[in-house]
Amino acid sequence: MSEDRRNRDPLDHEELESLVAASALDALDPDDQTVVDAHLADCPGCRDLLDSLRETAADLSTGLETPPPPRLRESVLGAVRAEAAAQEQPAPATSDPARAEAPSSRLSRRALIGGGFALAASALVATGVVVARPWRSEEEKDIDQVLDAQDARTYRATWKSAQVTLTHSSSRSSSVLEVEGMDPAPSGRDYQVWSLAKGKAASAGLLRPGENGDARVLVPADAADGAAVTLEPSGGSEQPTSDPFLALDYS
Amino acid sequence: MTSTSEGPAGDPPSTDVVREALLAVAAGDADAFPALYDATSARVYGLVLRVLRDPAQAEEVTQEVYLEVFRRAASFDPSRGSAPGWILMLAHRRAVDRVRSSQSQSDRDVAYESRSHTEEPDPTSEEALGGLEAQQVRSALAQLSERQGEAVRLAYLDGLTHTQVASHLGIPLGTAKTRIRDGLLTLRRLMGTTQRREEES
Repeated sequence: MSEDRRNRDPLDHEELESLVAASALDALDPDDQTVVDAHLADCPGCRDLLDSLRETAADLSTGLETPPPPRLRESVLGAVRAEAAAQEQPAPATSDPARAEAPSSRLSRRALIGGGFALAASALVATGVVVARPWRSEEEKDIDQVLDAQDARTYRATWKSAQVTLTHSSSRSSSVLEVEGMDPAPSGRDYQVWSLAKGKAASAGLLRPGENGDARVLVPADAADGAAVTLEPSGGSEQPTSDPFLALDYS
Repeated sequence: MTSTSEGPAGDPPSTDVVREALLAVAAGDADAFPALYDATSARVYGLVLRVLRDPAQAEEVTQEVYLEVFRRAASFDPSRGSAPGWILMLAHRRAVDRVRSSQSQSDRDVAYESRSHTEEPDPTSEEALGGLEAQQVRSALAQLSERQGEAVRLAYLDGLTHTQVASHLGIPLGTAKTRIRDGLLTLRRLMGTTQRREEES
């Protein structure tokens, strides 16, 4: 690589290819994965490289074949049948386009934390527009009051397959964290929501996506600086035991 | 292709059968899922078990993998790779996520440490390579420089990040990155795994 290229870019292309290769093995730290993801968006050649090296990586599992216990088959197929049945129910409300537009952010995003979480700046907007919407789970009055509050501010983000919306109302001293399309927590674990105030975390309960990956949680926000989500042992913890994969700052 | 239900030493399932079943599931045919499971579960479970080294956790993760396969089947893009490759990608990602979130990470590090004192290639990956198709992989791995193969195995089969690979091997991060990249590129050439785009037939 030439010196000027090195000077112009933080990483030259050969270095990026090395990161792409490591990415095919899921061997990147979250920060590097963010770099790769950004590059892949612009580089069809590296997308092809990644696809191809993923095939090569998958071939490395050849010879490791091990039939799982028969009970796993029953368990998997039962879970899939249940999910297939659930999908025949009406789809959840789609997101409101009014929220997705209007990037007039008065709220800042801060710092956010490893664990494979990359928050695209463009995915995060704040608006004063909140429209109550039907929801599959039981409506809770407090949640609707926050969503309908005049001063509600909405932040949107994505995490893996999930669309994450945090709506904060100062007048209600509360926020509502909503997720759509979120994978369930790994077995034996739960997502737990925290209200953050002056560096202290108070549990706001568990976040358990339903069959369609949707869930919402009321987050007390009296004097809080932000909210965060961590992965905790099943049933939750008194204090976070892992770094948040999602954190938002109300400032 | 005919039946693909695999036994312990059975033939590897046909890529075509897996693809057909996955596309059927993607199209909303949940009844195709058992065939998809039967054609792939030994590979998925075998890989996950190898990464996690714990049958109970491997079962849990395998179950999660198949639920993810079911939910995300519609996002499988045959123009970007094979159906087994896509499923194994999801499986590997979930397995390493579990490794990295696990409290046992430090125990695993100790295990690597003790293993690394034997100057031999990772015995588990060697002895595991058994079947017919595996011979090609074994032959390819044998042709890799020992250093490159070790770096690739540590990353893929032990679920280490490249930073952990570097620290485990006591080499600079840049060297680890290069070994992983060159090792994978060499494997791709040796095993002939170019990108398997779907052919219109």
